[in-house]
Amino acid sequence: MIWFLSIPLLALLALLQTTIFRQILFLDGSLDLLLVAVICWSMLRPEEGLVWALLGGIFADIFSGGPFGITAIACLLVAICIGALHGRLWTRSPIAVMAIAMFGTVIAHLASVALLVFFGHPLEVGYLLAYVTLPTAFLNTIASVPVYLALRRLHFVGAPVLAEEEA
Amino acid sequence: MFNPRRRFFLIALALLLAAVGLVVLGQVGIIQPVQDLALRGVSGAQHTISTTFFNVRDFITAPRNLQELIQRNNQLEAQVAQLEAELVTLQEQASEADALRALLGAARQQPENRYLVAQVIGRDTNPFLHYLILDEGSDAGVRRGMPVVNEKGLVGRVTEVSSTASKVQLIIDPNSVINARIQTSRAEGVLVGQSTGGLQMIYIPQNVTVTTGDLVVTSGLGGGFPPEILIGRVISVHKRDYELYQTAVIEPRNDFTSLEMVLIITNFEPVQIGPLQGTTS
Repeated sequence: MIWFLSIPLLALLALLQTTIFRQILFLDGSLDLLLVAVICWSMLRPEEGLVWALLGGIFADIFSGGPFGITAIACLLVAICIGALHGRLWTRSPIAVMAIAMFGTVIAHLASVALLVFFGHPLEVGYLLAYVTLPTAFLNTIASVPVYLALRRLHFVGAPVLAEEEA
Repeated sequence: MFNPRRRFFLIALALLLAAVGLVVLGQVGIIQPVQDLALRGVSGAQHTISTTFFNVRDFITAPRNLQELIQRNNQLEAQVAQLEAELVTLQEQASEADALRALLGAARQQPENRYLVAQVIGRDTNPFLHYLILDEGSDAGVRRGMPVVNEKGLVGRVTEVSSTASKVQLIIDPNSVINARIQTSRAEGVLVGQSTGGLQMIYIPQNVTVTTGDLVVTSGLGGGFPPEILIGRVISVHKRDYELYQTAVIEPRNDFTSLEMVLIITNFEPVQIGPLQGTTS
């Protein structure tokens, strides 16, 4: 990976998340492009996906009023799950990308809710899963394929040998 | 040295521990200055992006004005591009003026308060929490605990401040707790935010009659908010004879999804009653 690109890219995605995507609601959910990027990069490069998850989570936590670090942990758990499955799933299929984006979103939200409850936030889990997580998972699933394709190009730019092998 | 799978899990474990460490540091308060610094660095960009977003959204969601634009387009073909740009700017200025006029009206109702107008430049990235990011911070005199209102009533309170931005916990956040009063019966209770984006008033004494439509205002008890700020109205009451208190569901007057400008009450000092209770909070 072209390392110097990941930090501004993730910072920009966090900025767009707080200024634009969180203003456009579908039920109570919204597109989480930062999480989608972390999921897609974890599919392409599991080890770097872990670093993206930590950095992306930290950037998101800067714009959050909740306990610092919980988004980072939630993103890391998703990246670990995807990395653990790497090589066992055929992740180049669009269906697989969409399925992983959907389940990744659900895992991230479950982790986030669990941590918030742990820190004493009284949340109605059933309502949040139905009105926040499911709409977000739906939007993330739709966005996952174009994001994956865009990041795949970046992945090949950073590693032309891989591009030749996969071609 | 390690096979790839083992290496992956070792990195994962190290980063997970680092993240847990961040959470611990965040709880202790060590991360706060770094977070403030980062927020200060990006608040300008946040302001630009959110203003552009509001302009585009207002342009798209104004069908009547769009029709006017189309008519002008037919009449003045040569100048259409210039007029469109001009109109969008004017529309934004007009809506900003409307918002300021409404806020000014609210400010005049309570002349004893000093207000600072702030623009909403961001929302909480965590979808389960309800916080706003405003474009005014400690440089403009904003302090932690200051109440935030608009022309419709109470919005929330400032929870974090950097030099150029501040975070506001909305009253609908699940962690928000406000001492409130039902205006007609003067019954007091505690208003708590709900995950559903609504409000619930708890600890209302059983002997008080609460009816649908009653207005709910801040009581001023506890010193967290000034008294008599409008919050919402009662939409349903839950009273059971075997319970100590009754509860009511409150509909907030504000639509928190479309807030663009707010007023921070800058001359209100929240009272710290922690020491009186013998514990610090």
